[in-house]
Amino acid sequence: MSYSKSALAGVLAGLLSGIVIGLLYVVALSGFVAELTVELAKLISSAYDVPYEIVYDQLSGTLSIVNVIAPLAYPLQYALIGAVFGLLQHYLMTRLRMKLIASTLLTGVLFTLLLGLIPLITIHYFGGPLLAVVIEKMSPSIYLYSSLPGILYTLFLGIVRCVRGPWSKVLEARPSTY
Amino acid sequence: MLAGSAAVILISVVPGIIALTYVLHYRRVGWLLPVLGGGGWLIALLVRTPLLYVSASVLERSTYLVIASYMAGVFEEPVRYVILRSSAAKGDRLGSAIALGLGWGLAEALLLYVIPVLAYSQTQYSYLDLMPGAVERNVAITAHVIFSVLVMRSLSDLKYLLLAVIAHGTLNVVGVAALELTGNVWLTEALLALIVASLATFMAIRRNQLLP
Repeated sequence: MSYSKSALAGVLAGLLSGIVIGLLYVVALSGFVAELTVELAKLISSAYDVPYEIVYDQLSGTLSIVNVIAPLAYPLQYALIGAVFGLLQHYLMTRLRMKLIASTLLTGVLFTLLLGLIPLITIHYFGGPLLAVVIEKMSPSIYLYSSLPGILYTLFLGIVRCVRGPWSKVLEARPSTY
Repeated sequence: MLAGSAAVILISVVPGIIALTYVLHYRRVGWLLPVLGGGGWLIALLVRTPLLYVSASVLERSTYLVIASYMAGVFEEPVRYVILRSSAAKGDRLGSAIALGLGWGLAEALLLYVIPVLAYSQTQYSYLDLMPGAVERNVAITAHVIFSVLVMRSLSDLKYLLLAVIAHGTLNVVGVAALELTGNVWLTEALLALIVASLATFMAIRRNQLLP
C-alpha cells in the first residue's frame, strides 16, 4: 500500500473515531463535562474568592458553546490527526518492516500516549494546583476518557486496514485521485 | 451581527481556499497533503499544549511569551519535516510544499478563528473587533506556506529546518512584542503582513534556486 493510501486509511479511521467520540460526547460525556464544570467553578470560587454563581455562569456559558461545536469538531480534528498517524503506520510497515497488526497497535499506542495520556499526566503533575485538584477529583475516569480516542482510532484503523468493506473501494481507487 | 461574522469568516479563509484550489488543480498535487498539513498543525499544538500550561505556571509573563512563541517553531517545523520527508519528496516539490502550508494554515484558521467566531457570533463582539483576526489568518496562512517551502528545501539541506524553526519563532516574537509595545492590533498586523509579504516576494523571486 502506498503512503497516500495509508494516510487515507488513517483519515477514514480518524473520521469514524471522531463520529463515535462526537456521539459519545452528546450521549454521555457532556454530563461528565458538566460535572467537571461544577468542580472547577467551586475551586476557582474558593481559590480566588469570587462568588460561585459568577464563575459558574461564565464556565457554563462557554460549555454551552462547546456542546454545540464538539459533535462537529471531533470528526474533523480526528480525520486530520488520523491522516498523520496513517502515515506513521505506513512508515512502521515499510521502513521498520513491522506486520500490519503490530504496526496498527503501535500506531494506536503512540496516538494514545502522545495525544491522551502524556499531556494529561504532564498537566496533572506540573500544570498548577488548580488543574491537579480537578484531575484528581475526576480520576480515574478522566484517564479513560482521554485514552478513548486513541483506543477507538486503533480499532477503526485495524478494521479499515484488515477487513473488506465499503471503504475498500475508496482505498483501492487510483492514487492519482488523492 | 451574523452578517458581520460571516463576512470576517469569508475574509479569513476564502483567499486560502482559492489558492489551495488553484494549487490542487493546476499543479496536480493530491488533496491528502493539505489534510496532512491540517493534522500536522493539530498534533504539534496538542503535543506542546501541556508544556505551555507548565511554562505559564512557572515563568514570568514576558519570558513565557518568548518561550511560547519559539515553541511553535520548535514543535511545528519538525512535524512538517517528517510529513514532507515521508510523503512528498518526489514530484512537484514547490506545489507540494505550498499545498501542505495552505492546509496547515487553513486548519489553524478553521479551528482557532472560524469556529470561535461562529460560537461567539451572538455575543458583544463587533465586526471591527473580529476583523484584525481575519487579516491575521491570511498573514498566518502565507507564513505557513513560506515555512513549508523552507522545510521542503531542508529535505536536501538540513540547515533550512533550523532556519524555518528560527523564522517561525521570531515572527511570533515580533508579533507579540509589537502588540505589547504599541498596544495597537492594526499596527501589529500591518507589521507582520509587511514582513511576511517581503519574505514571500523574496522567495518567489528565488524559487528556482530554493527548490531546483
